[in-house]
Amino acid sequence: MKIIVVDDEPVIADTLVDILNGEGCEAVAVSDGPSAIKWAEMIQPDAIITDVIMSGMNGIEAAKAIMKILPNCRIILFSGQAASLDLLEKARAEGYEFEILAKPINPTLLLEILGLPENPGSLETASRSARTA
Amino acid sequence: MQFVFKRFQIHTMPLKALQFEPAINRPRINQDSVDSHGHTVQFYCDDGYLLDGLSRFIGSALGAGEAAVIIATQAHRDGLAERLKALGMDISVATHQGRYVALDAGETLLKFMRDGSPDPTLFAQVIGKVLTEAKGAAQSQHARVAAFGEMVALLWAEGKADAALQLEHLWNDLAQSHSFNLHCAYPISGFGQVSDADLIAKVCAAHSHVIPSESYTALANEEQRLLSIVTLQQKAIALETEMAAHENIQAELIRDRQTAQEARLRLAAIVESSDDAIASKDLNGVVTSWNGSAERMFGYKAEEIIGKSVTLIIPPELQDDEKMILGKLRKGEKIDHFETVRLTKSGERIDVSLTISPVKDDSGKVIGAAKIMRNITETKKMERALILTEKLASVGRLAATVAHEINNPLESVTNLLFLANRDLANPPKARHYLELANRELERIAHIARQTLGFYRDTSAPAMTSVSQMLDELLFLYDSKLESRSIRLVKQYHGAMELIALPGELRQVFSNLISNSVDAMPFGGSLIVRVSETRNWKNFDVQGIRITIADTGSGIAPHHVKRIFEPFFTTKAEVGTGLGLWITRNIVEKHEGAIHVRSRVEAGRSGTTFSVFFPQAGSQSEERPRWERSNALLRGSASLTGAGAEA
Repeated sequence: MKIIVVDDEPVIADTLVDILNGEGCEAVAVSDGPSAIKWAEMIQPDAIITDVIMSGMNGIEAAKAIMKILPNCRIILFSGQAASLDLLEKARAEGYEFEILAKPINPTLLLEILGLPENPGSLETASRSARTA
Repeated sequence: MQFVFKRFQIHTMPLKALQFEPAINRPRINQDSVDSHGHTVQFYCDDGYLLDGLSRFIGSALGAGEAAVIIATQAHRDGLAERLKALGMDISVATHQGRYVALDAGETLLKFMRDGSPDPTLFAQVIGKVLTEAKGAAQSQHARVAAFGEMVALLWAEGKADAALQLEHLWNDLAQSHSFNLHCAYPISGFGQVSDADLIAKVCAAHSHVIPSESYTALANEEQRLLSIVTLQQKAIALETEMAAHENIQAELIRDRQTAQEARLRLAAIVESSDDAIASKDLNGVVTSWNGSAERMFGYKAEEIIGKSVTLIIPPELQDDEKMILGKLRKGEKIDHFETVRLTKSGERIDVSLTISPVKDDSGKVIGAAKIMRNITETKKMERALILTEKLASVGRLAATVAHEINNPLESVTNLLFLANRDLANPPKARHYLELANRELERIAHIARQTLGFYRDTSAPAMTSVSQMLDELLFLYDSKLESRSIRLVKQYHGAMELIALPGELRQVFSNLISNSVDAMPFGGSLIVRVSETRNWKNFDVQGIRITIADTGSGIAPHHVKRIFEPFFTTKAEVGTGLGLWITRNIVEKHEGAIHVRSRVEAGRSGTTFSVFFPQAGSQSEERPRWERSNALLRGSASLTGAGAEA
């Protein structure tokens, strides 16, 4: 599964990519909206996980642009602040529906949502499967 | 035969020889209607003059052997008897003979007055009898009776003008059956009113002869009398002119009074219908007026509070307000929109806005005050609600920002722990993840301390030595200053003590010092100055100014405006952006002020923070209310914090 992770906090983007790659995905980390669009055109990902509030282009604008290029790409927003809800409301009024997750999200849950069933359950299961991998 | 007085002759001629003839100057009124007898009216000013003339009239009648009837007051009867005696007449003999009859005017009146009017039948009986008897006693068969009557004058003096005129006519009627010469006398002073003109004409009309008062009759000759007439005519004209002018003035006065009354009524209506309570008081604070709104606002009726002290509506702890207000008023100063608390009759406290103006008399002297009181309880309630809403909103904003600042590192920590757990088989890698996680957790802890901890500092304010606190802090920075070769300059002037929250004060200084140190990675000077001073915005307020200056890189002008905003930072790697925001909050809480000056020009760059703390200051909530009122009355701005200075 090809995934692009977009977050202006490098630690978050890098760790998520690390986790996803550990589950056999091909994930890349980018830190802003325009880069996300550029990478989406290039690698045609199956899913995009993006932060909402970022300087420059916000996550929702980036998501809308990517939907136009890749209608089948799954888009998951994740955010740590209430202001994102306002942006989401605005997008909904324009006819866009997005999945949104609240930070901090348990990585196990995220993997589940992404339909990566070979890594279900708790941290222990995750680490065991990581060791076996 | 008619009797007149010829006063020129009286002393030189014997009584018997006296001749009475009409004087040329004596006006004759209604002579035709009174011809069977003589009915004379004499006006007089002076009793003595009247009695002199009367004694000659009566004296000559008695001297001629005729009879005399005197119906007069006691004083006049006595005066007449004395004068007759002086003229050599023995009235006791005449009295004995029944030729001299002296009756009391008041007593005689009572004999025929009924229901305030003379009864004609009784009058004819009573007086007729007296006249008949007197005439019978006279020595001469054809003699007439000389009569003097004062009953009319008595009635006149009592204000019974109609009765007096009736009585005059009854005398005239009596003349049909009796032969007498009647002499009436009225004091001219009894006709002093303009409205007496008609009455005096009627009195004169009831007589056959009229004798003016002595100012005319006493004159020596015709020439003088004519002159007197001209003088009187001139006086009359002048008086008429005077009266016309007087009437005009009177009418004008009435018009003015009406206009004033209307204006007063209009003003009273405005005051009464005003929604604001309007009252007035004198300079002792005694209420002198109280309108309807005041009644409704305070529950006291006007009649309950007028005359009482206005302190009745002032809460006990604000009683000093009144002294200050009266002091200002005595100086003629006005008090505008003074917000305070007043007490209603039921003991309820209401927020009011007072406007009090001195009331001056015509000479400009302050004699009292007019006060307008507006109930602002509802406005105040709304204001408080707004402030609370504003507070909640800012807490909400803070919470949102904190959420973002905390949720991001939490996300990292969660991911890092997941990875560490996954890579337990690879200890160096796992350790790396754990170290990163630890750093993120420290970030979270720092933010939590800075934001949440700040609001929980509830320690009591204490006397704090600023210089000592600075010394302690600077000691902690000693090694850092040395390693960066930062030169420290301390300039403390005077005793530096404040009542403050020590923990918060330390945070203020610590933030400013660490900012300065951060701004000088390659050395420079740190200047810490403490001095006693006054607030720049209000010189009434004394306090302490702490200046912390560095020769560091400076703050860009477009950043200076934002440095007190929460989470604004130019040191993304190390800062949370909360330091100066917290610093300003603490300074404001202590009713102080913070200023910043900064330069970025190379070679002369640097930043100076200046913090002012008032020495008497503590939180406004803890300050006695009256003290705040004083400050308001003085027009002081000392209570405002540094809100405008950030």
